[in-house]
Amino acid sequence: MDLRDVPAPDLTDPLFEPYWSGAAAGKLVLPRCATCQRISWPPRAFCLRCRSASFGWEEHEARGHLFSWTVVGHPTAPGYRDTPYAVGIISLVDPPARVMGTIVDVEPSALEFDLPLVACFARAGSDPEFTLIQWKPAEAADRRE
Amino acid sequence: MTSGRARRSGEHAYVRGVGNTRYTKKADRTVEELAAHAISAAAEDAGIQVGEIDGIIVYHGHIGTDEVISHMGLPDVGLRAIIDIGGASAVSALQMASLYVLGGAAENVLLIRAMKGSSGGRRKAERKSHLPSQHIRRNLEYVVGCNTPSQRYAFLCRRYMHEYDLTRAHLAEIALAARAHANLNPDAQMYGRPLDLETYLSGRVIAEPYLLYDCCLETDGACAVIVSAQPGREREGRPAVAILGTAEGHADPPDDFLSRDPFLAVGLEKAARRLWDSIGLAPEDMDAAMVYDCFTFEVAHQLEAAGFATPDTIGRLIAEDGIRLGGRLPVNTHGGLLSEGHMVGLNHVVEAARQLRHTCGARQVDGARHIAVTGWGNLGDGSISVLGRQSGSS
Repeated sequence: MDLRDVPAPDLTDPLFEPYWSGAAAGKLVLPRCATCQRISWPPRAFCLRCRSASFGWEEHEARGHLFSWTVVGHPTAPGYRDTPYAVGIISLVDPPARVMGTIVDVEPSALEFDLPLVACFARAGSDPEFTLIQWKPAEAADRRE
Repeated sequence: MTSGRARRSGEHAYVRGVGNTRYTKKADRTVEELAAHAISAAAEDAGIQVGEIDGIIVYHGHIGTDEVISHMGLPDVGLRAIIDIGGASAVSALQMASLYVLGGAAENVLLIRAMKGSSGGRRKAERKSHLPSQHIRRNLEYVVGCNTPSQRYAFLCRRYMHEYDLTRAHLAEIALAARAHANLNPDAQMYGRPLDLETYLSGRVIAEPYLLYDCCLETDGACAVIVSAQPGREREGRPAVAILGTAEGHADPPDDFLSRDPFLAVGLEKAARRLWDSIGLAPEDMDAAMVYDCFTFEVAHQLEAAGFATPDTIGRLIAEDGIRLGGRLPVNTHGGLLSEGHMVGLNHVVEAARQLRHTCGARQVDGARHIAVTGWGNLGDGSISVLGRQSGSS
């Protein structure tokens, strides 16, 4: 899919800047509470478990399992004119951290619950360009690598 | 203008009057004309002059408070508010309006929805989003091609169908029941347009599991509700519609559903627990339910969250016990957002009031005395109200 028309977020927003910098470097970088070690995603001012306001951003294993998904048949989102495409919720290894991403390199009709997925990184947008994290079946990725 | 009455324990506010336009795909009249029609009808129904409206609660994207005051020539509005929890706002407004009128801040509070949601310009997906935490939407959702309620709620729907015994047949029955009810309602956008299972199943994919007929309508029209401490036209012997209780609840967290644990927990569970505890009635006491039906699955999800079923019995309630007229729990007897029209749930309040007055004709629920109305909004905010019939003798 041509991702040039995908709208770039504000890449300088301090709440998300480390996430986007990490993506540009080919990494999944998420905030972890410095006190209780819980992954805090999406980023918050306070840890929802221990109320600490101290977070450290760190690289997270870019693997997970398909938790739920939708197959979009009616295009509505800028940059996503080609349907059908699949958007999934991916369970990461540190619960309850889940992320949303497009699922690529697989027919949407072939998706199933708990499918092992691995992140891949794609250039998107045009003004400015940025790196988008997508997800593909781990088996296909492992076979190729 | 205000009565300055203190709220007494056990005292209720009332749905004093209701009114609406016909719901259509393309209205010839302006939004202001549609609103004026619904407000005038509600005032007449309430037995008051339009000018006696002294409080207004509105909603994003629909006609606003100053427009209502200006176009209706309201002489002395002392209180105005907007509730911003999406489709849960209309039912939450029953709570706010009840507090206003029982606390003496206003006598007749107008709840109004008026919009050209079908013919009025830009497509729904291109309209301004009123969802909370827009930075989450921009950074994590729009960039991956997710920007509509149908897409977001599809994640919940698919997961629920995976974890529990809810199937395509149940979603279909929710859509078909709504359409069957709308065909008994001459004001409904889908009146005279039956829907069968084959057509439902052949609906194009919007956001799987949602097909076309799983999705609510877009509608031109208006509806209005007037809440007061007075029941309205009681001297004429008309039964009163009492607001027996209303509660609102929010998911943890309300602005992001991915991080919820459990994933499928929503605000309505909290609201319903508080409501049933406070009014001394139970789901089994309800003669019907008006459930916010932006999509088919949300009806099932809310019926469960509100206590009408468990995750294990929700399929049975829909398929066997029955949600159509004559079933154990008639749901959305007007046709709902799926088939009457999309008035962001205020039309559900209008229908509940008419059912309790026993004026619904062919779609009347026999002997209706208690009806629950729910709202669902944003990413899982919930509200629920129970309205009760009070006849002169009771």
